[in-house]
This record gives sequence, structure tokens and C-alpha cells, in this order.
Amino acid sequence: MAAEPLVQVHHLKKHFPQGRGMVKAVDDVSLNILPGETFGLVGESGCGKSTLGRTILGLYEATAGKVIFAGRELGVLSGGEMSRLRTQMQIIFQDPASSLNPLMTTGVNIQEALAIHRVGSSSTQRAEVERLLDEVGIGRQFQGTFPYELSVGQQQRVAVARALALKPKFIVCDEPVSSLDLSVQGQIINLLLNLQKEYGLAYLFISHDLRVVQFLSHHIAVMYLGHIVESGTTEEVYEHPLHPYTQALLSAVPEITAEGTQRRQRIVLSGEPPSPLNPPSGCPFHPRCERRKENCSKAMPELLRISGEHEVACILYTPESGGAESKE
Amino acid sequence: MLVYVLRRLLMIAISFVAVVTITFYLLHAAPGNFLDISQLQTQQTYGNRSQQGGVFAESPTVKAWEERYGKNTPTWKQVLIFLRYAATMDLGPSFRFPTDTIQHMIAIAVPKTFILVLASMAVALLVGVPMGIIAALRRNSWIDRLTMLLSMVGSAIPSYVLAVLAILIFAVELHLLPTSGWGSPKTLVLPVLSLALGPISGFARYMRNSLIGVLREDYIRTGYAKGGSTWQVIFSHAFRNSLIPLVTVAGPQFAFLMVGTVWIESMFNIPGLGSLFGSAAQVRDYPLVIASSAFFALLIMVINLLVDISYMYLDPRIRAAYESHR
Amino acid sequence: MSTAAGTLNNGAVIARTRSVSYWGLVWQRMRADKLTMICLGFVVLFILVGIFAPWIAPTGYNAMNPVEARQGPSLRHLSGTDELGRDIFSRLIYSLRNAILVAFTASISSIVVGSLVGALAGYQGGIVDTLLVGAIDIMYAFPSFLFSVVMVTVIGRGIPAIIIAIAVTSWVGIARLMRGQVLSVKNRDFVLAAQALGASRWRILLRYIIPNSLGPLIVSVAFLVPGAMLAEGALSILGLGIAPPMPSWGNLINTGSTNMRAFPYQLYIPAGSFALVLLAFTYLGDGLNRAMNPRD
Repeated sequence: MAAEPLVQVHHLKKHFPQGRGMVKAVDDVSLNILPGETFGLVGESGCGKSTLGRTILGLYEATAGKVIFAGRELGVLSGGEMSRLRTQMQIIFQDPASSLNPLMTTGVNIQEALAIHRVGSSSTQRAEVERLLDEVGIGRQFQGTFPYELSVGQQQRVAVARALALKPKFIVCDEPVSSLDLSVQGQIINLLLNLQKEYGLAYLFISHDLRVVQFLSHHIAVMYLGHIVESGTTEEVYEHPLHPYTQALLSAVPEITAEGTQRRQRIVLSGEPPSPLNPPSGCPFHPRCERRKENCSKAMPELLRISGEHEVACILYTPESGGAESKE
Repeated sequence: MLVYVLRRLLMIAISFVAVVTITFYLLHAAPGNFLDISQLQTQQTYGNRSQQGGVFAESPTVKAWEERYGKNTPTWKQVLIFLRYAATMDLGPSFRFPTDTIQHMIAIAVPKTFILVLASMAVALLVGVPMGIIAALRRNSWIDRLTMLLSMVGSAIPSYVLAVLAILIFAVELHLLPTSGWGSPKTLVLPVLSLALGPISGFARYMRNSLIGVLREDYIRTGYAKGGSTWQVIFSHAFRNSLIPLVTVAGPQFAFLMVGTVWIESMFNIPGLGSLFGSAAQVRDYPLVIASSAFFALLIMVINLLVDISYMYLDPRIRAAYESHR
Repeated sequence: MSTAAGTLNNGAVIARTRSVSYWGLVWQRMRADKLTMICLGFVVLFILVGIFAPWIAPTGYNAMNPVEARQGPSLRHLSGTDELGRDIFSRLIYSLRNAILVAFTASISSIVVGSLVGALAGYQGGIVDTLLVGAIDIMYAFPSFLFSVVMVTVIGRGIPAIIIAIAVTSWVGIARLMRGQVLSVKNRDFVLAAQALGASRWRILLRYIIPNSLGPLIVSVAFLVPGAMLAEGALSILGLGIAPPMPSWGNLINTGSTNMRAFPYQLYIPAGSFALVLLAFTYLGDGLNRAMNPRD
């Protein structure tokens, strides 16, 4: 399918100065998200995935690179144009409680979206808020409550309602279910799926929970210390993980099959992810990689297309080292 | 660490210069010639040393001022002159006592203030800290409530009101203690008491809250789990962790004490730095006001800095935060 | 606490009572503390007395009546009379009036100036912030009361001068507080969410950041008023406050202390009533603080 991507990210970088050093939260990331699809972004804490999501939306100003949304480059827009474009791209945060203004009622929190862009009169706005509350499964009688009175799951539904209010085409879901109990997680995920079917929404689904990402995503990218180390369709990456890091991540996920719980060959990683202030030279993963080579510390490997849409950034798969090594 | 200290010293110096500058400018912006005004004041209080009315050119006060600052010097130059002299601790004569130098007056006064402040600080620590500890250990009991109520009273009522009431009760009605003077320990009791009550309340309240917070922490429960008795746990862990932040509270309390001496010394006729400043302000003795307040402030700022530095030494977390920050 | 609305898993909805906002909760907690409510009552009383002083006071504040001088408290003169035969009770009422006038004016001005400066510094960042922080730090390092004494010495006495002297030294603390609050609030998720919705900077500042920064500010404001009263009293004790014959607590205490051996009531009553007024305001502030930051 050669559909025009809704979101194109070209060599995006986001660096934060800290003290005398620099935190390279996002270091040269490129990806494309098609309309109506879910793009999953996985990685451990601190790998930069949240920062990536926020920078794509323009909430953080990019240090380098560009983001193109629906054919328009974000960095060059005026304030007014950007504000109008924002109606098409929204975000849902990890901690629902802190993502809602505690001093506004639930209804007003949602109504803000409409009020900011002056969509209709006050009463039509309120009617729309009620409709949205019904749609996300809370019910319009909660309009006058305050966020602290709601459970975490309900708060997250409110956040979803707010994100939907402007009828966007793209929503960044930044670990939307990580703070929720398992049973509630399922509800929210189903809500997101239904909304996607109904409205053709595209999602950037950020999470460290591999099973959830597998369930929802069409395409996946794996991030490590600000870089994408592997990407492709969900099947490609889950069934034939190429990058040693991806292999290690997936090996820890138990799979429930008819015969009971099955595990892939467990790969235990040594050490901890290094601090983004002081990343290792060359490939950021090489200190923990069992299959590292001498050149791994010299330069960051490029993302190379191996097959179909499957790309990986690892020296093991470059033509010089013998092309595609045996896939496990 | 060194960078931090230098930066703080720089802030203090800038602050000092800024305030002196502002004061000088205000002096000259005020209506009337300030030399004239203070002339009238000194005339009223100390008799006629110079001629009446506007003809004051011959008075020793004006002569001394002009000798130092020149006639009609622009204000900013006056500031510089002041600063230059101040750097060498040569502060010149005061309006009220043209025959004495300010630095001499300050030198005599400071030791007395120091004794007063140190004694009050000691009392505040010795009384306030145990009070807070007891209140924390017997949370929500009547002791706790009483202590907190007392501390509330102590912090709401200013030291000068307390001093006045204390004098009334102990000196006048009961004839137990002298109302003023300086010399014997007896004369110290009332001033120290009035000064110390504020910090006692501050320390008590702080100690109580801090200790309660610490006692709730998980590592205290670990101490109990390890088998320590209540007292052991409290002494070896809880105290140390709540005492160290006490140092940060000590700084502001010290400043509070220093400022409080202005009234307490005036009320009890103690010839310290506070009363020097206070009486200078009353008679508009400008050179003395500027010099003594500048000195006062400098003292407070430097001691605050010392307190902060010692806090950084004592608490490794703060030290680490500072070292990684810049 | 109001009942939280909730949906049971089977979809049934629990009937709920009226929702209470954050400030509503604070008010509920305050109401529960009887002592705080008593102090609130007193404070309201004091403010009313201050406002309606000319109508409440039995005599003018400077009504001299040498025949009745130096009388102890009686039915006619509730707090006795002073050297010049003036009714001390009336003078007390006028002192309250002056104290409230000075304290509230100085407090309100420092709050307005301080929070604007602080909010601007925190929100804008950049050069504006650096400059403001520099100015704040310089003023903050210098002991504030000394500075206000110096100011009054230089500017002169009188109510406006005192108000200025107090306000100038208090706004710095407020600015610092506001800046700190704004800095922490502006990075919270709901502010980012508002940005994602496309809200303008002003809207975010006015509807999201400032209302959520007010918390600690309100508490410190509650303590600002008694603090200003204290400062005014302190200035008066030094002879730098409101000039006689206009009465102020400090004045009354001063004259009372010169006469304390012979006529102790002239000291007890002003000192005691000053202490009471200060206590009421301070405990109210404390109660407010506890209502906003409930421990356990």
C-alpha cells in the first residue's frame, strides 16, 4: 500500500542541555506513520520515546530535523497556523491525574478544547462535551465532577474524550495504560481500538509493555538511548527480531500457547542502560551486547533495510560483515 | 564548592553596595537638606552647639561631613567615597558624636550584642529542640498540643511585646529581676528570654515536624525490624536525620535574633549594636544609621553563608546536588 | 469529603452529592477546626471595628480631658485614660484601624507587585527571569526589617511612608514564591496538554498556571498581614512609626512603658490586646495552612 504517510519524521533530534553536558534524548530518528494505523514505539525507561512523541507534536522544539504532518512542515508554521493544525493532532499522557487541570471540572477540562478554537457557542460546546463523555464510556452525569473524584481509569477516559474533542487524525498515546490496573488497561485499550475503527485515527503508541504494543500496532520501532535500532511491521519484528536488543527484550516476554506458557530462549542482558548524559561511543548498545564486534564502538550503524519493511541498525547485518546473519 | 562560596560572597557584596547606594539616593531625594534636618534633631536633643536656623555652616557636624564627602559632590561619588572608606573600616564621625568615630562605637558595641545573641541562641536550642522532640514522641497527646500552642503563641507575639510584658511582670510587679542595665548575669535573664522565645517556638515546631516525618520513614521501620529498641532507633537514626536540617532553620533564626536586638537592647538599655542602630535611627544620625545597618546586615549575611556551607558539609545529598549541578 | 461518583463494573451509577472543588475542600477542612473558625470570627470582627472605628469609638482618639486623666479601667473608660485624659479604649480602636489600614494596604501592594513579577519571571524565563532573579536575590539577602527602618529614617514618618517601607521589603518574598510555583506548575502534564490543544500563552498563564500556583501564596499572604502589623509596631516602638497624636500599638506601648511603674494598666492593655490581635491573625493563617496541606 503506497498511501501517503500522515506523519513523517526526518532525522529528528532533541537535545537538552544539562549542566556542562547534553542529554541527547532523541538522536537522529526517522519514521513514517500512515493514516489510520497504529505505530508502536517500544523501549525501556529513559530511551527517549516520550520525548520523541512530544517533539513530534511540537510541544518541545526540535534541536534538528523536521516533522511533516499532512504535508505541512511543522517548524516553519506561524503561531496561528500551528494552533489550527493542532486540532488534528493530540496527545494522551501516562499519568491521567496530572494531565487534567485540578481546578476545572471534568466537563470544563474537555470543553477547553472547543473553547480555545471557538467551536460553536457555549451551549453547543457543553452538548458536545456530554456526547463525548458518553462516547468514552463515562456518562454525561460526570460533567460537574472534579478530576480528583474520579478513578484513574475514569480520568484516562476523560483525557481521551478531551483528545477527541477536536476530531483529530493523529493521537500520540504516551504510555496511556502504564499507570492502570490490568483489568482497566484492557478497557482503555479496547476503547482506543474502537475509536480508531470508528474515526480512522492514527496512533503513535508508546509503551514499554511489549504485549500491548504487539496487540495494537501495525508497525513497530524499538528505541534505545535516543536511537531507533529496529523497525518494521509487527510480524516482522516480533517473529524475526534481528537486533540483539530486540531479541533480548522479546525473550523476556512469556507467550501463552495451547501447550502452556512458552518462552523463547532467554537472553539476559548484563548491566543497565547507560545514562543519556554519557552515552557509549558508536552503537549505544555495544557494552551490553553479547555479539559485539570491535567496530561497534567506533561508529553508530545506519538503519538498513533487510527485507520488506524490516530495518535494523546493527553491524551484524551490514554487507561487510556478511549480510543478513542467521535469524533466530 | 569553592565556586558556590565565591558566588555567594559576590551576591553579598553586590547586595551591600546596592543597599548603600539606594540609601544614599533616598537621603538626597528626601525633602529638605538632610544635614539641616539632623542639625535640628541634634540641637533639640543635645543643646545648641551651632547657630540657629539655616545658618549652620560652622557646626562641627557639617564640617566633618564635608571634610569627608566634599561640598556638592554628586550622590554616586558619595557612595564610592563611603565604600572606599568602608573597605578600610574607616567610617568617620557620627552626627551625634562628632568627636568619636563610628568604627570605634561599633567595635565597643558588637561584643555585647554577640553575647546576647549567642546566649539567646543557646537557650533557644536547649529549650526548643527537646520540646519539639517530646512533642513528636508523644504525638497528639496533650503535651503535644500544649507545646504546639505555646510555640504558636511564641511565634505570633513579637519580642518587643514579650519584653515589655516580661519587664512588667518580673521586674515591676515581682521585683525579681532588674529592668535594665548590663553587667551581671541577672541583667541578661529578661533580655535573653524575650529574644529567645521566638526561636524556641521555631525550633520546637521544626523539630517536631521533622522528627515526625523521619519516624514515619521506612528506614526507621527497618531499624525496629532489626531488633533495636525504641530509644536505640531514635538515637542512632532519627535524631541525626532530623538534626542536620535544623542547621538550615538556625540561619534564619539567627538573623531574627540579630534584628530583634534592635528593640531588646533599646528596652533594656544594653549598649550593643542593636541599640546603636536604633537610637541612631531615632535621631536621624545618618552616617551612623548607614554604617551600623550596613555592618549589621553584613554580619547577618556572612553568618547565613557560614550556616549554608556547614549544612552542605553535613548533608551529603545537598553536597552532591551542588556538585553535579554546575 | 463529598462522595465520589463512580461506576460499578456492572454499569450501575451511585447517586452522588454535589461535587466540591479544590477550594471547597479547603473550606470544609477549615470549618472542621473550631479554633480556626473562632479566629476567623475575631479577624472579621477586628476588620469591621477598624472600618467603622469613627462610629464605634466612644471618643475621638485625641479627645483630651485632663480632669479624667490617669484613671484605671472603668465602665466609662473601658481601658482607662492616659496622661492627657484621653480614653485609651478609643485610642486602641483607632490603633486597630491604623494597623489594619497599613497592614492590608502594604500586603495587597506587595502581593500584586510580587506575584506579577514572580509569575513573569517564572513563565517567561530567559533574560527577564535572570534579571528578576538577580534583583530578587539582592533584595532578599539584605535583612528586610533593617532596610525598612533605614527607609523610614530617610523618607520620614507618616502612614504612606510606612506602607511603602513595609511593602518594598515584602514583595520580594512573594515574588520568589510565585516564581518557584510557576516554574513547577508550567512543566506539569495538564499545561502541556493545554499547549497541545493550541491554547495561547496568555490563556495558559491565566487559566492554568496562575490559579494552580496560588496555593502556597495564599498561605503566605495570610501571614503577610500580621507580619506587616508587627513591622508597623516595631517601627513605632523605635519612634519611627505613625506620629503622635495619631495612636498606634507601638506608640501606646511606648507611652505605657514609661508609665508602667505607676500605671501598669497603661501597658498591660495595649500590649495584651496587640498580642491578641496578632495571635488571631496568625492562628488563622496557620489554620489555612493546615487546611491546604493536610498532614496524615
